[in-house]
Amino acid sequence: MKPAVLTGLIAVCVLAAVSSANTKSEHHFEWDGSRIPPVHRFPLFDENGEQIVPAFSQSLPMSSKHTCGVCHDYSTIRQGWHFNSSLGTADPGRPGEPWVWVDEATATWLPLSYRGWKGTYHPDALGISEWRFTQLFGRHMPGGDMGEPEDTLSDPHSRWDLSGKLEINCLACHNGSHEQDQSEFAKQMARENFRWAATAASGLGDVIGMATRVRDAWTIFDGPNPDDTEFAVRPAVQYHTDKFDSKGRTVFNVVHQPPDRNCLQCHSVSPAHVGHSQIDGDVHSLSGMKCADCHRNDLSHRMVRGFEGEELIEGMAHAADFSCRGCHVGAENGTMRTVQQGRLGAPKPVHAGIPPVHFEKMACTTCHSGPMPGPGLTTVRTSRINRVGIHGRAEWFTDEPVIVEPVFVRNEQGVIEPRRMFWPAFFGRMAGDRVEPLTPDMVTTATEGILGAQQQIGRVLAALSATNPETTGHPVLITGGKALSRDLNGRLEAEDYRGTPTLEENWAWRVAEGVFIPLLPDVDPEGTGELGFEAEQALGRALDSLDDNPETSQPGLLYAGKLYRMQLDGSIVTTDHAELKSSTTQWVLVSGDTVEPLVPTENVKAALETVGTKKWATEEQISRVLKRLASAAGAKPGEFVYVSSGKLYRNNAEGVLEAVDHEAAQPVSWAIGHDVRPAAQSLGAVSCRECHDADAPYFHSIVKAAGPMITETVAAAPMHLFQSRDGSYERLFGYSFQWREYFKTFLFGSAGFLALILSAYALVGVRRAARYVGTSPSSPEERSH
Amino acid sequence: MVEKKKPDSLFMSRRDFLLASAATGAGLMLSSSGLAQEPSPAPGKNDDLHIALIGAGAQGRVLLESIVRIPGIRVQAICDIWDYSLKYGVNFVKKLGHNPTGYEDYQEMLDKEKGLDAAVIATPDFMHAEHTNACLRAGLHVYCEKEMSNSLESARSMVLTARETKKLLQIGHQRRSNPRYIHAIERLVKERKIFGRITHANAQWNRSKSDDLGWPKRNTIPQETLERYGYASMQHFRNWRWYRKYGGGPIVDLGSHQIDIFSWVFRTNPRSVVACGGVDFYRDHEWFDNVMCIYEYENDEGVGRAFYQVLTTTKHGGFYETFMGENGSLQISEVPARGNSCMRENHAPDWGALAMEGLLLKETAPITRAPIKDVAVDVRVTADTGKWPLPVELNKPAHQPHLENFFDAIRYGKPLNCPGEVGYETAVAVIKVNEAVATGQPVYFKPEDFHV
Repeated sequence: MKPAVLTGLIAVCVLAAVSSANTKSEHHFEWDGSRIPPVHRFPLFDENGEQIVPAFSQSLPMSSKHTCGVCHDYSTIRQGWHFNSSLGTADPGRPGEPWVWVDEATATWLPLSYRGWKGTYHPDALGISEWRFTQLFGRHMPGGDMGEPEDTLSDPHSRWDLSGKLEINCLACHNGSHEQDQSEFAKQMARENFRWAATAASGLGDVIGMATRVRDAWTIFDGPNPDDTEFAVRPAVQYHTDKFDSKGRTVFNVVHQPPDRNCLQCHSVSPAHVGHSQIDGDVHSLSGMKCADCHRNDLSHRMVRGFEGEELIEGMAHAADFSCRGCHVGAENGTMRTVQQGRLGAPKPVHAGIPPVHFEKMACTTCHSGPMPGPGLTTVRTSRINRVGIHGRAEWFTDEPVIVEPVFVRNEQGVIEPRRMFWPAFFGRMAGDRVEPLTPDMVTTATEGILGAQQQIGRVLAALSATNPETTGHPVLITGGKALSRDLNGRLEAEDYRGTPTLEENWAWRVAEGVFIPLLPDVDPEGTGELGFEAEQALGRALDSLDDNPETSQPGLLYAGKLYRMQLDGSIVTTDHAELKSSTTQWVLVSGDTVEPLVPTENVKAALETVGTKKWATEEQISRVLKRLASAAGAKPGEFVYVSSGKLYRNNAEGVLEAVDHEAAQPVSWAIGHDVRPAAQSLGAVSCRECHDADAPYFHSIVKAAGPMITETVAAAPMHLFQSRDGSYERLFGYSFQWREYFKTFLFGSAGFLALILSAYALVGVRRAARYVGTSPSSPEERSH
Repeated sequence: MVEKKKPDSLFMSRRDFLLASAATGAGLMLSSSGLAQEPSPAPGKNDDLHIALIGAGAQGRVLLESIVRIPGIRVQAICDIWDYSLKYGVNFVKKLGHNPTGYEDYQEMLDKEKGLDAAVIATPDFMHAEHTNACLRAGLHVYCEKEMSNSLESARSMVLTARETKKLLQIGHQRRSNPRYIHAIERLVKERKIFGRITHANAQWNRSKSDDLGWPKRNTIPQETLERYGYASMQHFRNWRWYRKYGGGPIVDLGSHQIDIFSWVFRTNPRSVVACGGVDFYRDHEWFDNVMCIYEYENDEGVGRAFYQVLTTTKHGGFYETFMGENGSLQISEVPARGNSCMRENHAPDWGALAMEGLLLKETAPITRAPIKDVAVDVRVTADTGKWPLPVELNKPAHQPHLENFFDAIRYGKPLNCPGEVGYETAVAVIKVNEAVATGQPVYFKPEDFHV
């Protein structure tokens, strides 16, 4: 066969194949027109494409790719907005809420996004693999995306073979059943049971075991470990067979439009420390609309996000229909009106008396969305950043990072819009003028023993609880006029100490409120300078409990010039020690010839400063971490810094922390779209002076940065700076509104007066004209006179 | 497009270590973070050992987990007739910087791969001899999983081939290299004789009932391929341990590890065994699913008896070995939570001095729960009162020391902890139990039965 003919034949085959594929693809996009939701009764399929037999004990979890994908083209859906951030195939559009790596042990609030939104860091650039990202944020991930990478070998830390990939969790959105349980999903993700999480969350079966505990080279077909049915239990699913018919089919309560509660699993935002009953919610929701009424998509799952100008991005013309203006005002394309106002019953806005400049320079949401601006900002929690909505035995949510709203910010298009805002916090390394953030994984060793002072004291208190097992109460550390005790989370609680002075600055036992006794009973009952029998017994128990790191140090007790330690055979050995001759006891750690307090003095000080606050660190602690980072063996060259509270902190030549401004410390913000207020409750509905006044919050409230470190030097700026407005001008302009009523009265009065004068002149003119007309001959008879 | 940055750390983690170790091919890269790994001689690049793994199933990958932690070991080839296991095995080590070539046929691997130093064999028992002998004859040192074979003739051939080729043959009774076992048996039992004369032993391996292993249908091995490699079906391939053609059943799979320890402690091979058991629970299985047996040992101190049971329908008690002497007992298990302590008879000499020497930890005291507010209750399993825990810990996977011993023997000429001859002795003692069960008659051993 001639090459040309062969080439032609190949080309025809390829074209035919492509054509066939396209036909199939278009077919999958097509809606047949029926508005009846089809009954979804079908068998489940696993990741190998094999039908699941629910009663079979070794059945694998459901695979959405092979179950839902039978009818709904998985590869098409995977390009949708919720699943494409790491693919780089979609325009990032208007900045949205970033993922934030919150880590108390390293005082980190690190904003991350694959979409390159301003102020965020790309995970790839920080060495955060798809595996690590999924570990961190899988609790709220819809699947697909970075949870389903093509390359599973690039990260040696990854365990994709054990966990499975995180396929798109179709049911997270489309399950109409109340059994859909995001908390269960989050629990399974925490156990690295990625491939099992969707099945468990759907309620179709119970999932046992934890991939986190299974050895590295295990695979799902190795079966269970018959020698360990308690700890390293491999993940497995037991389907609820009563939900399946005799053919292994189940009925999914699948809905075309996701119920709001499913959206809100990941998209809830609410003011912190406010009762549920105090929240009005969004006027659209209250009127019966659902999230998906506006945030629509077809099979492509290219979601309408609903911001102005979205229609210009990626050719999503229909997106214009669902912005505020689209429904309430209508949209025009050149001279053609493409959307008639009033869509979905949207009322026509009147905006009587509002100068047009407002509609040019401000987004609709500025006046209508989020809380009304006040003297202070509202602190809110969001699902994904503060882990809201994960329920279980433990409290999963955190108040950190601190997110505030509304901050009125001029966006990239020059339009002012209300935003949520938070300030990043992380350790970093200077690379020229840039700061390269260090992830918690990178610095956790450097912060160990310095940060987490409360937890360090908490661990000692837990160990000392063995000292007096027969006595009610619990151990405390008395210091700085406070008695510190351990709470359930391992942090500390403080109460004022008003006991005997001899117990101050020491570990003691709290028997009841305000009643404290020494940790050791009857230390020296005979006054010989030797420990009593009971004290020695208690000491033995305490030293045994405290001895959790025998390779590096050994606990001991200093008393009356003697050092008491436990020997290998469990007996107490006494050696002379000149450090402490007094009759007070001092608990210590002995390492060679070095004798140090159980908890370093500076950590006790830090704990005292942070206890009862939402803060995680002090300036002194951060300074110490920076020094340790700089001196770390193998550390790359470069100055180490800490970013927090809108500032960059660095150790100066004297080793003292000082703050400077830096781009890396700038806040991260994203637009508020919801909690829309009706017209009567919009900003400015009552008076122009809600914004235009000498101290109107809209321009003049102070936006003060927040961070995990206790410091006085935080960034603070008036709101007008975020809008690129001149504060003095706005203040003067605002003053003018104080006199505007009088001015209007004067103006209208003057105008009236002028009108009267003019009217008077007019009347005179009319009279004269009439007189003139009356005196001139107008008829032959009159003229004859 | 954002450039992907490799996971970075100012301080090295365990996996960073694995990666760096594999990537550089040598060097123990310890950092200030401290690595939970004992320092071992850091070989230069020329000390790298290139190895092949034959059999990448569950046990093969268990060995891989240890191999990748040992500095200077390069996994050059992996062989398995099942593409599923082969893919997982290759991917597992690729992630850590190794770049093995995968093979279905071990003979093709031996023909093509140049520069191999050793082979690690983790195939079903009936293939051990064929694989081991071929690798030895190809000039490779061999680490072969126990049991050496399901036939003593095949096991004997392995020892003979090793002698003939003058290559090393280590059998995978990994407790022989476990520092906890070495401390307990060599130091406490033999050197210090703290238990006096050991008169009895008791060991068991009980595990819960389990279903047969399945497989993804799309990864079913073609029947002709299965038959070419000696398997009747995919069911047999996946569950070979239950079929006589391929293995020796639970007493061989599990009991072999512990019966091997009996000989170590009694310092001799058994002189007889009585046993009973049967296929009483599982349908369609060929091998006995429960076996109980009693061995007799005779050494220069007298006679000792050892009871052993393997049950596959209950996890009661798990697996451990107990050695009872006139002055005390040792209970030990590969999993410390199941056995890690000594018990002193009241009349025995005081052990306090042993604790001061660091040979034992101090006697455990009773622990009572403190009725305290808000303080987390310590839920760790604590040792019973009156027990003296062993002071040695193994902070590595259980198989790693045994593999290290094998590689050190290749590199530095260190003696093997379980050479083929020792493995053969254990094979004789264990495989004969099945004969005792089948006949219902005692089996009496002659010393020459254990010699090759």
